[in-house]
Formats: sequence, C-alpha cells, structure tokens
Amino acid sequence: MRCRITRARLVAAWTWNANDDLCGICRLPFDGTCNACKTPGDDCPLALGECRHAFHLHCILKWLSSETSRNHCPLCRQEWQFQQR
Amino acid sequence: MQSSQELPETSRSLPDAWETAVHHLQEALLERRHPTQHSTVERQQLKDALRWLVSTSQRASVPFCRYAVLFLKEFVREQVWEALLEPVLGCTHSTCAPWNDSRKRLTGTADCDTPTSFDPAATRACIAEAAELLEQALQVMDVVAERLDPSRRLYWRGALSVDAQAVILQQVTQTAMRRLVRSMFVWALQDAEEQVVTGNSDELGHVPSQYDSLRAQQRHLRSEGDCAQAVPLLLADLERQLAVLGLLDQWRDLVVVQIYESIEERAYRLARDELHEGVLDDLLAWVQKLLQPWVAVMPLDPPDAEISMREGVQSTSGSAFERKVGYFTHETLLHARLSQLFDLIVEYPASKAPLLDIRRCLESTDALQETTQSLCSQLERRLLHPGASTSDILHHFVNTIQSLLLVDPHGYLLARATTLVRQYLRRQCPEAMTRLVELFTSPEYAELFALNGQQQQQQQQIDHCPGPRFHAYTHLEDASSDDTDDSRSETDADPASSDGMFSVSGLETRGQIAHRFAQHDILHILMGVCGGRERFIAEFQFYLARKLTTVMDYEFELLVRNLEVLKVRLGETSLNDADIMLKDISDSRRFMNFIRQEKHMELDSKQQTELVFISYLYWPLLCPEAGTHFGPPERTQSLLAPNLTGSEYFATLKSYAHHLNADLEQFIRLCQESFARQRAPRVLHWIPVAGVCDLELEFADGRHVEFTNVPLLNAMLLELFAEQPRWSRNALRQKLFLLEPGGDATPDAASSLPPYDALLQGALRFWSRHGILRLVDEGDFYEIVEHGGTEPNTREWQASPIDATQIDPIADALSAVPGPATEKIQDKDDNTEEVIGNYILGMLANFESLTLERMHQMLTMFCTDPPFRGTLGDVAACLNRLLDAGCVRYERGLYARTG
Repeated sequence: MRCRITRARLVAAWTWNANDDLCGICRLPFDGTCNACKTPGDDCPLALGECRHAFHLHCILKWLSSETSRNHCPLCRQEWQFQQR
Repeated sequence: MQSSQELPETSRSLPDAWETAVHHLQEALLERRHPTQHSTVERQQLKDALRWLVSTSQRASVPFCRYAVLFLKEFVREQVWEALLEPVLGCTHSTCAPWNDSRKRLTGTADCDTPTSFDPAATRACIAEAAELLEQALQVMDVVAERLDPSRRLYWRGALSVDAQAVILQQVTQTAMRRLVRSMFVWALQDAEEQVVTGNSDELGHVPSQYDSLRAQQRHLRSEGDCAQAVPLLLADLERQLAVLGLLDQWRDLVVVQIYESIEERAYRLARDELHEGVLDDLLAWVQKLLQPWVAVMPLDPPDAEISMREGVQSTSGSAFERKVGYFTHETLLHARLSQLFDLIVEYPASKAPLLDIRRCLESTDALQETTQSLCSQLERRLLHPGASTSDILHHFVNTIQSLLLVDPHGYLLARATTLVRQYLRRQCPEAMTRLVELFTSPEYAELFALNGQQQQQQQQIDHCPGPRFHAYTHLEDASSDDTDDSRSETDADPASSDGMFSVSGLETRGQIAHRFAQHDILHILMGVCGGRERFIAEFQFYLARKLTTVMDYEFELLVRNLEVLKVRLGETSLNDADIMLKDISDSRRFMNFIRQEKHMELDSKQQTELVFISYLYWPLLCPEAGTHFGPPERTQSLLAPNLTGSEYFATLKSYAHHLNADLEQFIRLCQESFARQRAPRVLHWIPVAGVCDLELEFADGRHVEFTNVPLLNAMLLELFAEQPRWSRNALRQKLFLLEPGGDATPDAASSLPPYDALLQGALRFWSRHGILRLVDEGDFYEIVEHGGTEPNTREWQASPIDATQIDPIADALSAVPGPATEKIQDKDDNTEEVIGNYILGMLANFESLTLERMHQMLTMFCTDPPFRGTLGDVAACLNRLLDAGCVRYERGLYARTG
C-alpha cells in the first residue's frame, strides 16, 4: 500500500513567551486579555520589564500612571524599565 | 276487465250497481299491483273513476258514503303506497343503470348508500301522482263527508290524510326519502354547476334518458339561465306536492341535511390532495352560487341555539339558517384542513394558502381549542417519536413555527406546540442543541434567520389583509371573544409546563402570550426549545471549532455571516469568543500566505499544508478528552474554557504528542521559527490530535481510494502500515505515541497520562470500519487489507473521496461501545454472546430504544467484520442476559439502556 497525504491542516496554539502564566496585576492569563480588552494577542500585548517581570501592557501602563506606583515594578519594587529588544 | 267508462251508466241509479262498480274497480286495482306498469290510458281511467265517484257521491245514500270512505282509504293506500314505494325503494326496473353511471361520473364517487336501480325522476313523478290522487281523494272525501256528517268533515278528512301519511311514512322510509332528496339535490347542483362551468347545457349528450324530462323541465324553468331562479321554481312543484302529502316538514329536514352533507363533501373534496392552494374562497363562492337558492327557501324560523348564544352577533343580512350555513362551511373546511395540518406544515412555504384558509376559518369559528388538540396529537403521533431523528424534528419545528404564526398570529397554538416539542426534546434528545446549530448554519436556512426583521412586517400585512367572508356570517367581535379566551386559557393551563417563557400559564390571556411571542423570533423560540441561549452559544462555538479544525474545505465566509447574524440577535459581547476564533483563522491565513511567499522553496508545492494557530483560551477544549474527533463532546460546563492555562496546558499537550512524518515535522518547525521571529515574544505550540488531512491510498490490487478530513492521528497510523504491513498493538502504541519501550507497563488510569489505548483504538477502529485494516487471527495484530476486491462498495470509493466526518450513524452506533468493552471485542475474534451484547449496548446508546427484531436486523446488516449470523433467538438470549445484569430494561416491546 502506498499512502500519500495530499493536504493537511495542522493546529497550533500561540502563547506569550513569558516566565509566568498570569499577569501579576489583573491575575488573568497572559494568553487572554487584560480587563479592558476583548481581543487577545497583539491587541493586548505583553510588557516585559528589565526585572524580567511581565504584565499586560495595559495593566502596567495603568499601574505606572497611578500616583502610588512611583514607577516601580509591582512585584519586585525595582524601578520599572521596559525591556528593550 | 271492465272499462271505467261503463261504470257511471250502470251505477247511476242503483246502489247495487254502485257496489258492483266498486267491486270491479277494486279488482282492477288489485290486478294492477304495480302502478308504474300502468299505461297512461289506465292511469287516466283510474282518475276518471275517482272523478265519477266525486260526481255520484252527491246523490249517494249514507251506506254508500261509508263504503266510499272505505274504498277511498283502500284506494289511497294502494295507489299512494304503490306509487311511492316501488320506485323509491328501487325494486322495479333496471332502466336506472345509466343514471347511476352518470351520477358516478359526475360525483366521482360511488355512493354505496344508493341502490343500483334508483330513479329519482320516476320517484318524483310518483310523488306527483300520489299527491294528485290524494288531492282527488280528499275532494271526494269532502263531498262524502258533506253528505255523511257535515260537522265531522274535518275529522274525516284528517283521518284520510293521516292514514295516507302513515302508510307513506311507514313504507317510504326516511332513507328512501333521503335518497330522493339527495339525488335531486346532487342532480340540481351538478346541473347548475355544469352550467356555471360551461355556460352551455347542450353538451349533455350522454345524459340518461329518464332524467331528460326533468332536465328539460329544468331547462325550461331556467329560461334566464340563473340557478338562483331555477331552484325555487323546481322546488315549488315538489314542495306543493309534498305539502299535500303532509311530508313537507320531513322533506325540509332532509334538504337541510343535504345542504350540510354537500358542503361537507365539497369541502373535503376540495381540500383533499390540495396542499398548495387555498380553497376557502372557492368553497364560499360555490356555497354562495349554488347552495344559496336552496338555503334561501328554507325558512327555518326557530332561531338556532348555537347562533343565538352569541348575543353580540347582529346579523345584517340573511336568516339564522344562512348564518348557520356560513358557520358550518368554515367549520367543515377547518376540519378538513386540520386532518392535513401536519402535511401542510411539512410543505410549509408552498402551503401558505391553505394555512391562511385555516386562519380565516379559525377567525370565523370557535374551534381554537379543537385545533390545538388536533395539532398536538398530530405532532405526537407523527413527529415526536423515536423514529424521527432530532434534526428532522427541528426541521419540522421550524416549519411549524412559521406555519402556526401564519395560522394564529396570537401565538397561542405556537405556545402549545412549543411546550410539547420542548418537553420531548428535553426528555429524549440531548443532542438537540447540536442539531440546532447545524440547522442554523446550513445554507438553506440562512435566509430564514437573516430575514427576521421583515418577517414581522409580513405578519402585519397578513393581519390586515381582509379576506372575503360568507356574506351572512359575522365573525366574532373582539370584545366577545376575550371573555371566552380567558376561561379557555385558564382551563387548559398545563401546570407541568410553568417554566420558561413558552409556557401557557393560567393567568395569561391570549393577548399576553401574543405579546410575548412578538418579541421573540424563530431563533429565540428554537433556542428555548433546545435548552437556552447559553447552551446555544456554547454549541455554536463548538461547532465553529470542529468545523475549523476537522474539515478541510469549509466556507469561511458563511461562518462569518452566521456569526454576524448571531451577533445581531444575541449581542456582540456574548459572542466575543466566537469572534476571536474567526479572527484567529484569518490571522492564520495571512500568516500562511506570508510564509508561502517567504519560504516557498522549502515547502513542498505538491503538498498543501497549512497551519491554524489559535488563541487557545477562547476555543472550546481541543484536548482529546473533549473527544473532538472521537465522538460527541462531553456535555460539561467546561466546554468552553479549558481549565488549564499556560504552562500546564502546554505540558498536557506535550503528553499527547504523536508521531509525525518528516514533512509535517519540518513544516511545523518552519512555522514555529517563522512565527517566533515575526510575532515575538509569542511562540507556537503544536496541538497534537487536532488536525486533519486528505489521503490518497493505493493498494496492491490497483485500488485507489481517497479519503478526506481524516484525523491526523489516523493518517499517521496508516502511514506506519505503509512502511510495514503488519503491526501488533503494543508496537503501534509505542511507535505512534513516541513512548519508551518500557512505558506501556504503566496503567493509564494510575497516572495522568492520556488514554493512549483509547486513542489508538479509535484510530484502528476507524480504518477497520472502512475496510483498510483488519484484525488478524492471532488477535493482537492488525494488517493492511491489500486485496479488497470482494468489497462491494469499492467502486463507490473510487468515485468520490470518503469524507471521514460523515460518519454513518449505525456504524457509529456499533463503534460507540465504551472503552473497556471495546477492548474485549477486539480481544475475541468471533461473535460470542459478549460481543453481541456490546454491540447491543452500543446501539442502545445511540437509539433511545429498539425492538428485538430491529436489533437483530441491524446486527445482521452492519456487523460485517466478522459477519453476524445469529438468529433472533440468539439476540433474545443475549438481551435476557443483559436484562439480568441490569444493563438494559424492557418496556412495552422496546429495549432501552438503563440510567
């Protein structure tokens, strides 16, 4: 018998390559969205800090814009710097 | 025989002569038993004798007068009796056959009530003669009574006619009378009808001779060709004669019966086999044109109870009887239509006109309750039984909704039907929602669900469309009907169905129900019937997921359109997940195009491979536990949200990883690299088990088989067989799931490992069901079927590719045996009782309940590997065993699974 695959459709799942599964601020999965968004992926991206902590971009921006944050990472309290690639 | 002309001369002077004359007359009468056999001359002689009696009786003495009374009684008895009875009962001549033939021809039905030799024309003539004779006899009586005892004249007269009537009524039974009226009536109607149709009465060449005279008479009467004038004239004669005989009252009743019967016959005849055209207008026009003259001459004075009950009705024209006929016409057609209601619903868009008939009849009568009962019993008898598949029920129900809204825009009928169907589906068809989604997404229903806004407009148009009504019938005033409705809905409120928005509660009037229904469209009603909005959304998403990952060719645009329609109905937010699913697909497509352009050198152009990457949190669980490819999904609450996120999820995926051929392996790697580069910091993880492909198989005997939509795992399994024609299950398991050689010692249940055996079993079963693989005798080995020439359906396979998603429900039934049982089947290679038992359990899992015969039939038909040769008794024995074990139960001839 000869067996030939003429067409195929494979399925894959994308995920953010972060150190954690959940956003430290909103406690929602990175692969989903922050509270404010509806569409995951590039519309609700991830922000990595120099401290290697990751958050939803929208979450960390909201945090940074608040008075209490003093521009610190909410997890490790180091000064927040967006990781440059 | 003595001539009657001699009588006056011999008996003018002497009483003896009178007596002799009477004697001779009697003899003459006795000799001629059959008046219809009398010649015209003889009849004339008899009449002359009567006249002579009239003239002589003035001079006769009292004894003669007494005798004359006796004679007259005798005379009337004989003459009237004979004249009427013989032809009416139809035992005289055989000359009437042509009449019957023509009658059959005209009515289209053979009436078994009519004797073979019934001659209405002769009967009429006899009635006329009897009337004439009685009239003369009465004249004689008057004269005789004058002489005898003037004060008792009326008594004598009464005695004579009562006697005559008694004789007639006794002998000429109601049936005979009815026959006469009926045939007259039918005849007159047909004549008038022919005239209406052709406008020319000369075409009646083959009319039987004996009603030529009647026809001629009528043609004469009908000088203006107007049936409305002809009928009263025709009736006037008969009526006068019957009045003389004292039979007018009976006769009227008979005509009334005839009018009703002819309406009934007409209504059923018009409605029969006519599922597409409305007939109410025809019927009303027919009644108006042909029956109205008859109706008009029936001055039934006592107001009919049925009509007078409705005090709100003020008739503007026509008698109570006319209104009653109008009511009856509507009611009869309603009955005729109700018997076809189910078929009308089946035919739905084509049967709009008959349904509107029903609606108008309902408006004109008071039969909503009856209609509801009829509808419900038809639904139960013809739709809601195990023989009807769930999708059939839903298809029919879509039609039902539309039809019933047309029939009864208030939605009362629909509410009852909905309750009925919902209860049945909830009890019997757990997969109803899946079928509903299929129905919703099928292209043929796209129009229906998309055009809902316009539907209400149509509905309003129908509401305001005035229909022609029987002129004498005034239909119910709203005010008067409201009262009855209140009491009605209170009486038939079903306490069991008090849940949900479709129940009919005792406190609601029909108006309130209507208001509720106006706010919901067909889709909402259907969702309510099948289990609610949330279930529908979940099921729709599952449908999308299945379609997008297990079918090679799907119409993406159609799915998008379905989603848009749903968004309009159910709101954007509730369908966010589905939205994201479709967005994933278009993202993937863009990405694939990009890859193709960038790397086209590296991708094999012959093999069209694509990758779909998904936002896994938004897709229904694609892990194999949900059984994406291996049967219906588990109906759990976690249908939508995978309970694992992030690293746990991907770890689980990894454990499911199976063997991929080099091409696909390379393809995945390429995609992953490309994706990681382009969309950093996102990465892709391959989801094993989900995925499909098309296959081309070539066998040693030259067979060429194509498969489409084959699960990837199954394809990989088969590829292993291409390398090596014979595998043991253990070897397959290790090879396919990339296990360590020692790994199979671990029992599946003890660890969190995926059920490899079940997956492998599914794939093996898939191929053996299609006759590609077979279990070889040693039990644990499978080998490829290279020479399948004996398979009868090989040719069909060559014609078109086999679609693996189109699973035969029966084959499914046979394979849907629960896990451990499956193993046993495969372990034993023959039809042991245990195997049959497992098959039976499988069948009963898919069918609600089955009879013994049906199960045996199915086993012999579908168990081909190895073939089942057991008898009915074997199956019964096996069922008994299962009964003992408590696996099945037996009720009223049907077997069903317990629990």
